[in-house]
Amino acid sequence: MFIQGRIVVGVFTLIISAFILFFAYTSTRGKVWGIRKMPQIDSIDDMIGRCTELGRSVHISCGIGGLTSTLAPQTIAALSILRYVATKTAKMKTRLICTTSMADHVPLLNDIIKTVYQNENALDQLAPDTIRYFGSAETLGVCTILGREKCGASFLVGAWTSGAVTIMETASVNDCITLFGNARTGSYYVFPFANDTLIGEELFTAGAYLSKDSIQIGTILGQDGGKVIGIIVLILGIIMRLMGGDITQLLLR
Amino acid sequence: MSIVYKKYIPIGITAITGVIVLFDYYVKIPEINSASTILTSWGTHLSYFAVLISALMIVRQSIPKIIKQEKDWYFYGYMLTILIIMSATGFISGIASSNYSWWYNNFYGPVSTTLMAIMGIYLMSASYRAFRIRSVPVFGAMIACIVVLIATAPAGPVWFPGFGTLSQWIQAYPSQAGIRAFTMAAAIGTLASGIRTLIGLEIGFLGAKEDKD
Repeated sequence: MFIQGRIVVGVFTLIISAFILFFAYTSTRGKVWGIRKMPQIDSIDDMIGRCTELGRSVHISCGIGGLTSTLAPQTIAALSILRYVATKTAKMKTRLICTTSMADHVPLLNDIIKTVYQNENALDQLAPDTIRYFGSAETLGVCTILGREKCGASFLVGAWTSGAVTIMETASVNDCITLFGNARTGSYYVFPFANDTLIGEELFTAGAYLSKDSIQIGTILGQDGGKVIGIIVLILGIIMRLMGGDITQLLLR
Repeated sequence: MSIVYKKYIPIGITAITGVIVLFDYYVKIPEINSASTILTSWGTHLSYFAVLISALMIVRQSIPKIIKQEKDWYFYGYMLTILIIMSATGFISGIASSNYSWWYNNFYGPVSTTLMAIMGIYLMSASYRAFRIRSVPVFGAMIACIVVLIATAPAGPVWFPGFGTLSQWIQAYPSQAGIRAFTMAAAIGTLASGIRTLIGLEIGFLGAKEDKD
């Protein structure tokens, strides 16, 4: 019934899920969990505020991760950030430009932005060309927009490739601050080029952190429980290796 | 009613499909495996419709700019022309045809290649900006960069023979350790994000959080 080689992974998934559900449950019972401040997420408000003061636009892109690929969780996390950014731009009457290279993002982006603006009674501020689809030429398109539309902040969140370097350098030339959030292993080297970063799992916690919802914050603690398990397995692996054993055989059952 | 339609129904669909596809990864039960295959193919088909919506959105955004002759309207005109020509060529002769390839190679290809060439220059200037020594960790990163750069330069290993081994060591141990930590944390984050989505806590992809009945 169970596929060989995935049993231990399944057990780990269940344990981590149990951690997350436990902390979420305790939050529903009134327990308030605290998590560390994440200045890079808190800086989102400052970045949008800067654009409002300078009369410049805010740019956001949710990356190259499709909704049916393994990169989809990163896209969903990025959409949570988009939702927050759109709420802020609607409240602060700042122009929002949302670009995408993925066709399947378009209906979602449209729905999220429109509903957020509707909720803030700001539909009249929403320009018809707020969402721009560039296909595989998004890097070129964003570089053009950052200069031509005078963007003051650019949020590059979700799964990204090396093209983000070009965008961030163009942003720097145009006095535009960047926040780069990515959990794609192949693009880890892009982080030094951004003004602010959401590295790896920080991207996934951003949505929960921004929601300020105690249940969602509880799930972040569950996630940390998963990391503790990972570290324990890592240490056990090192000890077994030093003693001449191999933990890999056990993990691949 | 709108909150049911825009929030609870999508969360329910996400939870059911998510659980089926998740189970498909771990178990060998024909009913679950075939249901997962069908659901995955539905997702792919839905994304094809999204391409059509995106193309229509481009047309809807471009036409008013061309009619009103707004700033840079001719670029929008050019884009629409290429969109129509390439769509027509694709529909008539197929995307594997030489006609379609000709348009792709002669219009998109040069621009794409130019971008890749520009990216090299941008990478250099961005590196200069990013690796200005402002702290001890950045100084360490800078040293590692110089070693790897010299080792991979054509004349580097000739002038500095030891740098090749040092570069390999940097890439095999400190760099690899960092990448693995990044991968592990991202994997756990992905799992947590998936669970939040399945139980209806992560609803950033819906547009209806503040909707009232």
